[in-house]
Amino acid sequence: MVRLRLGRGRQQTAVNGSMTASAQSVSTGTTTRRVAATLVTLVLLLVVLRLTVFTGASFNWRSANPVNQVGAGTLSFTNSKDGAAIVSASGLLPGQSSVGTMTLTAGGDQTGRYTLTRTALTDLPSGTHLSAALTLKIEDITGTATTLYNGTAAAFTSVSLGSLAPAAVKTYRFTVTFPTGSATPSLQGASTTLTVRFSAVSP
Amino acid sequence: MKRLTIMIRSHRLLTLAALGLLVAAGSVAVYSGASFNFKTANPSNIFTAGILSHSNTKTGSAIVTATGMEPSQTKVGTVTIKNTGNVAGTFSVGKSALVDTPGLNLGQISTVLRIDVVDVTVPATPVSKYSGLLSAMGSVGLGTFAAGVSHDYQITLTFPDGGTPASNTTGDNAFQGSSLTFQLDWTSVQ
Repeated sequence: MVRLRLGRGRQQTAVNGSMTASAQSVSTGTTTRRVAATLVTLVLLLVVLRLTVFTGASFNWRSANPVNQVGAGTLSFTNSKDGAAIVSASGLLPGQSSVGTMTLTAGGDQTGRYTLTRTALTDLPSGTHLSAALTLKIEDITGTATTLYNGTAAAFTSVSLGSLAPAAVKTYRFTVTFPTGSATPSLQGASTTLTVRFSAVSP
Repeated sequence: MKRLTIMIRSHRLLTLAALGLLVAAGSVAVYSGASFNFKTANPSNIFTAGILSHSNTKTGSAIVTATGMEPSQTKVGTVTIKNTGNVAGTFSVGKSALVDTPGLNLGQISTVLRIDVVDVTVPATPVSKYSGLLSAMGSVGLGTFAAGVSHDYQITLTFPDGGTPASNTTGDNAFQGSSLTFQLDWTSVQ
């Protein structure tokens, strides 16, 4: 007679006398199931590993071009009379002149195209035109004097100073003259204010 | 009870006998007439993994280098990318490692610098792949290259002219002396 009592994961066999073939069969079946369960677990592990290692796998190849470099240049200059008058004259009489100079030093690391431009012209009292009587002469006196402009102050608008390389130094002379032939009684006590600007742009 | 035992034994004997016959039949089936045989074979069936690789005529070095750029200036460089593998690949290019160095007036040139990536393999019919701010450039698809196919690309960097600056430190003047470096990454995938 065979009595089987199933425990937790373990099968116990109580035999009156010796173990029977039936009991052996039950024991063998249990072992088989354990082996099968182990195999299934291993297969699942392999599947997981394969998914982990190979999911989304594909060939790829890379190349790189590093340190592409871009740098902006710099363009600047100094004006020895920046913010101040280059030439001033008060009580100017017909036939007299007044002279002033300034030095421009190119800075930065780029060559610039330089220009001198009139930005404001004011004649006082209103209605008088001393600027039309005064002459303005602008010269580059860095080397041999070169006249850049010579005409009435009223007619001056702008003049090109050419291209200046970095560190170039230029000296300009401004001469204001009150020509005798232009003097009229109405200009007595009149004044003219001329504002000019030096500028540089990259080519 | 005794009869039942005999019957079980008889069944076992019958089963063993049947198995014996089956083994004998199998043996006959396999070995009968073994004097003749005929075989064919298809050996050396080779399975080789494909190769995906590409060459870059400027690999490891810059395609474009520009110093002292001024507004409205452009700099151009070219590179050839070739699929050197034996399978088709999908190619793309992107930028990385962008490093901005502000200039004298604290402007960052990457905020205005533009890049154009143009496929100039057929010079008469250039194909624009990307045109826009360098800083906004992501991965740009270049299409599928068959094995052995190469494409020529023209890389153009432009410092746009923002007009006359209002002062010595604003507008384009803000970018004076600023610089940047970046990397172009070419990728091919199966």
